[in-house]
Amino acid sequence: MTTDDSSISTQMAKDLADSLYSCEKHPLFSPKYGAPMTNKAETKAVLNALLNGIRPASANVAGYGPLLLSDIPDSAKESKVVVVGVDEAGRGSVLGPMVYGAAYWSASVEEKIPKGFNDSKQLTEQTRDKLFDQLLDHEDIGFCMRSLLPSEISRNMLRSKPYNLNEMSHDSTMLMIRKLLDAGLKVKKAFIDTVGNAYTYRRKLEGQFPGIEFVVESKADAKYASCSAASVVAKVSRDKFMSGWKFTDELQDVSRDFGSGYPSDPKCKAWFEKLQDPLFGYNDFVRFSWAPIKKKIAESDEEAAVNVLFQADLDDDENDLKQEQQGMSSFLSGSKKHKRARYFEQRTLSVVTSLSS
Amino acid sequence: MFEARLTNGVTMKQIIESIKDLVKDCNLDCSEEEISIQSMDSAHVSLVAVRLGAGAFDHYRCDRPNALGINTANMSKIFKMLNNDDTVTFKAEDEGDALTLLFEGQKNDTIADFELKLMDIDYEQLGIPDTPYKCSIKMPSREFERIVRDLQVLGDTCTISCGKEGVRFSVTGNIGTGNILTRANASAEKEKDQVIIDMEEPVELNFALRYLNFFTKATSLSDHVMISMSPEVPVVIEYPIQDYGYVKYYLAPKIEEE
Repeated sequence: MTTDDSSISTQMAKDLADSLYSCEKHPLFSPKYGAPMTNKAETKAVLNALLNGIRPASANVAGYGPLLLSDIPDSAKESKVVVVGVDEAGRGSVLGPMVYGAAYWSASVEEKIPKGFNDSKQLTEQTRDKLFDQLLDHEDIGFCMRSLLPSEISRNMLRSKPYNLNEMSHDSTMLMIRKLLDAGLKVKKAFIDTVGNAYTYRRKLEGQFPGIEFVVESKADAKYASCSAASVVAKVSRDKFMSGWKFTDELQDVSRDFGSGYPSDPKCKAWFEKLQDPLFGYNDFVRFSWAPIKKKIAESDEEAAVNVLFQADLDDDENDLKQEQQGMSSFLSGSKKHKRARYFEQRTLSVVTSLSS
Repeated sequence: MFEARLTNGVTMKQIIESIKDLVKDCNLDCSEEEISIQSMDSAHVSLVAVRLGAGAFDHYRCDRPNALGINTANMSKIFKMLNNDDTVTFKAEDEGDALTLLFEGQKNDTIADFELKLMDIDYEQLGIPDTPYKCSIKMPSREFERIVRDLQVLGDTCTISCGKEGVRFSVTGNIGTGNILTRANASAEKEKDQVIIDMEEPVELNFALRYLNFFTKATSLSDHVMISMSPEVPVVIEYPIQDYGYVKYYLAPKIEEE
């Protein structure tokens, strides 16, 4: 038992990890979301709690996945020029979260940064883990990690007005940079591994953050040390998220033999096919919005995937030729009444203001 | 005190018949100049406006504006007992809670009187924008009634397109499609057969046939019907009552989604 001031109890770490999710409000209105940790011990303990599956229940149905901002290195705090790299892991995966990582340091301490960083996909798992430990312990490197839960991705992509993966990626990058700036860091240069068109992505970032020089390239993680470090953060976190994932549906004994999580992996395919429930489809470790998943459900027979009728769809069918009947009120002056939702109208439900008759 | 005597009592019966499918309860607004009704249907998709000027009555007296809240179905039940050549007299006290109806036959000396309980109806009078219309069509009301009835077997939505050649009523439904074109013939021998199209620019709008069918209940009020349309605004379907008034229906169009 250590009595060191910087130690942090498991329970505290869990509570803190819990608060890094933003389930009810937009992250911009959640002050705790992405607030920097106070010291290295706290950073490690909270990261550990997150990677071991700490997840508030509401995160499965609403809001944003966790955003962790490490304790800020002293050298970066005082620096006038901070460089940051951003990379992602698990983008194309059909299972588990997509993880965004950022790593930063002061330009003045560049020579102290370990030389081993390279494209994380080309590194072995052991080297990556070693590098990540080095990075965590390094007194000059700070990092940021944003995890987009599979349920969050599905929700966003399946909205009536879809919020696609590219936009989510861009927004994650911008959110991390915003949090770094909010923490008082003077970010001057950012190396970003591109998602989509590099030019438009750069223009978007420059528009959001005047005063930061952006280098947006594909394979940036192989060219720039900060970007490599970011990719190590992202990749290692993603791997640990996967292995430490706590399935929401505890009643079901779920095998963890899901392979890489990429649909091309036969192991992964076999895993989710075995898991299919006729009514609920899959558990929330699976990205429902992914084409292979949608295809699998669509192609299943009635026994493997029952047809579900939704009232809203029936309502749509009633409007033949996809025409919407306009209300009269909007054309008249002096009318304040607005039309009630069809659901209430069809059931002749009305507002009761007084309970006594 | 409100008192009005209508020799041609059947007109009032026809007015009630023409609105009772759309409107359950409404106010008979009596003023010095006219009796009027304005109401939206329960779905707030259409609006009916009725006017019967004091000139339609051979005796008319209204001391102060008075709103008589009636149930159209009950009013219709009473008017069922009216013979087509009966004279109707309306009477209501200013602060009263009943409307007295007097039916007098012409041939014999029977007089029937009824008292209809009134109710308080909270209805906000709405301003109908006085927009100029791009197309006005005058056509025989029987013809319009037949078209609406015929097209209903094919589908729910009717496209009314008014162009130079005439007015086209089209329906697309599950079983197929149908088009009825009515050509302008301003020179028809009998006035009631005339189809006159006054058009500034072509207009095409979609409407729910169910409502158009409700409107044709007013057919017996008038030989011809006037249909006025402009893009993206409600159509007006007017049945004039001689020179004394009208029954006008406004129907909001259906629009294509997105």
